Amino acid sequence: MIGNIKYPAKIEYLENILQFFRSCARNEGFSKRRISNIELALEEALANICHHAYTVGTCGDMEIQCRTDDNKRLIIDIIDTGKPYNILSASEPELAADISKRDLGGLGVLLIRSMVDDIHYCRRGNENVLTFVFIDRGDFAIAPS
Amino acid sequence: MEINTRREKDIVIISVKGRMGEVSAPEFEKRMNELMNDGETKFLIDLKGLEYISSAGLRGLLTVAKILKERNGWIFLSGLKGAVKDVFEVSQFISIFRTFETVESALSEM
Repeated sequence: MIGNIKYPAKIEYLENILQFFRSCARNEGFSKRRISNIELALEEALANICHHAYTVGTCGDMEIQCRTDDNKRLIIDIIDTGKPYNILSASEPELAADISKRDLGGLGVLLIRSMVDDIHYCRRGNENVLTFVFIDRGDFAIAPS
Repeated sequence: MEINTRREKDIVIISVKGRMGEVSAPEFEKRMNELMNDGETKFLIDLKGLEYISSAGLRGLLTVAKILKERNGWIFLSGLKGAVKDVFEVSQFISIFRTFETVESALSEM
């Protein structure tokens, strides 16, 4: 499976990219629940690009490139040309047990890490490239950490 | 995303169907704000029909829960399952919200 799609980095185009991804993934034997997990990781990464990658007043693109390798792993590169930023360096929230103590931030990176089997970041020229790797296609919803 | 509201005594029961992601989460928050401005303080959110929730949806729920706590109100959840339950477990939101299997089991405890 090979597929690329690119849109302006605005929330209104998020669903277009997710829909594209869903139709690709259905052909690759991923369970419905696993597709939902992967979509979530994608949405979190793409929303982050829409909200933070480009300085206010400017707009760039967000892109995903999907492929499968010889080992049947699904690899998705999420690319933007915004300011250098590695989401993996963001700190995860403190999982406090109390509503009043719990923070609003950091959920995105926590959810991404829990849904993917492997993850990398690199800066390539003027691009941020976040790579998700999915091995598990089955009904295991939560990837082992 | 579809939001349906009904009342059972002084509890507002909101059933949410579809997806609560970046685009639709603000709709839910808006509806909650309207109801809270009307003075409602007790909420049961039925998520049985919810297929998907992202951090935007979780943040919306947490924001509302914090406001209600300050007003001595509460927000409980029911019908958590599948991918939505996964997200609640990973984020540990399952420990900070009181959850029930069904609306009926929630109401029978109140």
